[in-house]
Amino acid sequence: MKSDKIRLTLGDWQWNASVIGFINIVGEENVCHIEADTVEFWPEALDGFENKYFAYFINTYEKTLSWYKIVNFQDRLNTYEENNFEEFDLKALEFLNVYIKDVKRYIKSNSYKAAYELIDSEVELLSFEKQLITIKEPKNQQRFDVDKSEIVNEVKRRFLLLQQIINYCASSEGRRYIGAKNAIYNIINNAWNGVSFLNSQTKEKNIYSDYKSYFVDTATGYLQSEKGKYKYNCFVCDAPIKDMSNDLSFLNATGFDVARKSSHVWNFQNDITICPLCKLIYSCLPAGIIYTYNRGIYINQTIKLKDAVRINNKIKSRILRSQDGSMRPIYHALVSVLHEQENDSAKYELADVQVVRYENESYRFNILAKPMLQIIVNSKKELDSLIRVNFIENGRNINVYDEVIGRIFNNQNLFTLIHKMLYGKLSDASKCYFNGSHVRNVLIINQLICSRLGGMKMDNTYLVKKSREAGESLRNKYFNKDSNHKLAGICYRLLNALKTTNENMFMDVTLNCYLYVNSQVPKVITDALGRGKDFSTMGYAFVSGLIDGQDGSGNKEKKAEGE
Amino acid sequence: MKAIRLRLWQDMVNYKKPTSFQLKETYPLPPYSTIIGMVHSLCGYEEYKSMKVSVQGKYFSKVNDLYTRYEFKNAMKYELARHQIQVGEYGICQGVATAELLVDVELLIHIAPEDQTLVDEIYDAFIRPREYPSLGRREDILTIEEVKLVTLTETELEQQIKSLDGYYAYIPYEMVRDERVNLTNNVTGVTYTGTRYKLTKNYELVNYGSKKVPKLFRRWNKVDVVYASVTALAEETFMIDEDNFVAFMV
Ligand SMILES: [Zn+2]
Repeated sequence: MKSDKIRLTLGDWQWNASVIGFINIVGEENVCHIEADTVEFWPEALDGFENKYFAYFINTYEKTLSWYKIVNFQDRLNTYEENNFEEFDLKALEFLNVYIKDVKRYIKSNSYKAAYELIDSEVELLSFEKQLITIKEPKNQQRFDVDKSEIVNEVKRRFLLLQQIINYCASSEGRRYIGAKNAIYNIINNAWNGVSFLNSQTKEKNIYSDYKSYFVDTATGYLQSEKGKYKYNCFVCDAPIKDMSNDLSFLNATGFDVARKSSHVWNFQNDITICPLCKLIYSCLPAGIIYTYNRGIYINQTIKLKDAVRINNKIKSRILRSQDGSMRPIYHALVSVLHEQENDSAKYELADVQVVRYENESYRFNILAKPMLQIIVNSKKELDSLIRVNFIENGRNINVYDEVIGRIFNNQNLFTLIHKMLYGKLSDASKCYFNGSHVRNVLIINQLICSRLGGMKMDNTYLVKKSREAGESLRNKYFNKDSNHKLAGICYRLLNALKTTNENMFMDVTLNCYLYVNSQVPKVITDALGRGKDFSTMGYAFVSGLIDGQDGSGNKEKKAEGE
Repeated sequence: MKAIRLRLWQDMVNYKKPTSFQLKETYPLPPYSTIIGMVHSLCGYEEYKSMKVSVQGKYFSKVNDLYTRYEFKNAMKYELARHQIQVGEYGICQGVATAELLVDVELLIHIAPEDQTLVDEIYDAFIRPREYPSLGRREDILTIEEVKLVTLTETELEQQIKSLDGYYAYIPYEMVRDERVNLTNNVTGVTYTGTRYKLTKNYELVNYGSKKVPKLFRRWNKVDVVYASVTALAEETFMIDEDNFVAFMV
């Protein structure tokens, strides 16, 4: 048996993410960078690979796993007992009940049940599930105080049960198998499916053995085989292969069912087949992409493998550090990596680099052109203000930060987003979690996008500011005449004019308004006429000033505060 | 070396990657195999003609588009549970998928056939196309803005040549590695920017069956390029046409 070093060289994004996943799994110390785009490793790195594989996911995503939610309660349990339940109040009881419900749900789920079969223990976790019931919550804290000693006795009994469940899960076998099951259904199945332990027909119950025999043993067997007579070639590494049995169909949103849908390929013959070693590497794809809440990101830095590992690790630590349970971290993590460098040049480190996002079970791609990065770098302040800005449209929660970044990536302006925000504010302000300054910031970013071909102009904020002030001042005039009820109708008409970029209609409405309050039309409005995007910017900023504060009371008093 | 230079425009286009069956990921510029395929189809070539190609261009933005996807297996019988469409006794799966589309694409392409006697024929095929030319998917129609016969000369540059405004190119990887070019968006402290692709160029048909029952497979020839905005450096040698355009021939 010969034991040559194995080489992996960068290729397309899916392969690269898989290579990085592989490096993450075996550890950087076990690979050797021999060229900028190539690493080498000894076949010994594949010994016990199945253990390293799951350990990577369990360690990396530990705090996001339901397993962790179960065992992490230990600290609270200890604290209450140490203080003899002195601080245990109604809130704590409610929290405990939520926890109990979660634990019950988790430990009777199919994936947990499948894990129990692999854990060598006398304990029957499912029998605890039945005994573990929530505790009746008193109506209020006073009632709680009256019954406290009884409640605490109940709680102590639950704690006895919970302690056994926690001990079971926290044992090294518990972590090994339950953790792996969690990782499979939260992380790994985002990247691939249908084979090995993700094949619903699999006969092997032990996920570690299943992974080992399906991926690792086939790869090592292939490495040791005599390839002289193989006549096909691997599409990725060009190595000779015996047959065409391995393809990419197990990768999500990539391959296709070769047996049933051969219309995808030339002459109905699938000629994109890979060797067992490349297949093993592809199984590491979920360790290369960074996931959070079914969304994923991968930065396809293709020139230097070391840089690719470094940048993706940076984003990974950003994402996994922010545990606020929101959907945001993906873009925010990417942008904050762009911003974090002290020296100016590193901000553009990712210029012309491909970003791969996984959303709604499909992949999206963008190449970060330098002008986009410039917009993102130059509007840091405005962008930061939008991180938590949301509104609901057709029952769907829309995060403004994500929308803005997404549009910058696709080189689209923000007018339709601004329109949606203002329209939402007019029709149902209770579903809009933002205020006028947020709209202003979106407008300022939009001006940057629109003027990016003509370079950066200083009057971006000026136009938005002046137009908003004009809107606010007209709004105040309507309040002073007690005619504020007319404002909504006016805004609707103005928005319609803006949507169709109908300057005449827009001017008809504004002229009437100024006539009505007996004032002159501000110069900022007339100046923007016939100036395309500037007109739209002026118009939307003006309307945002007209709308702003309509849901709050005491507008006349607020007048002086301005922005 | 004689070459055909094309200035092309497309409004919405997908240059699909060969491995992306479901994703419909697009390359940022058409890969060599797509262009070579277009030349073959316009000229009616039945067998492969060897040629070198340079691809440069830009696009304005990118959108994701829903499209109807049809999948089927040759001669597979219709099954109610599996297929949405019945054609005679056969079945087809119909579904919705997304494709990435590039918007407003401009291209600058040089094509130089190895057999230089074919130059005029290829030139004519673009001047008077036999069918509407498309590049990318069948429906991705092409507007030909300019076709010109040019001569490419290997030239040591006295002055550097920047790419056309906002244009990107597929640059052979060795050229980047050997630092014969400067990637325009490069910044100090970062080795290189740009995205590297292994693009398919052409294939040989290899018969893995027997003479009687042939089983033909394509064996792809792939080339290693960097997609980036580029400046050709002075004192280095490049293929230049008479209008001072650099061609990164592959
Ligand atoms: Zn291979």
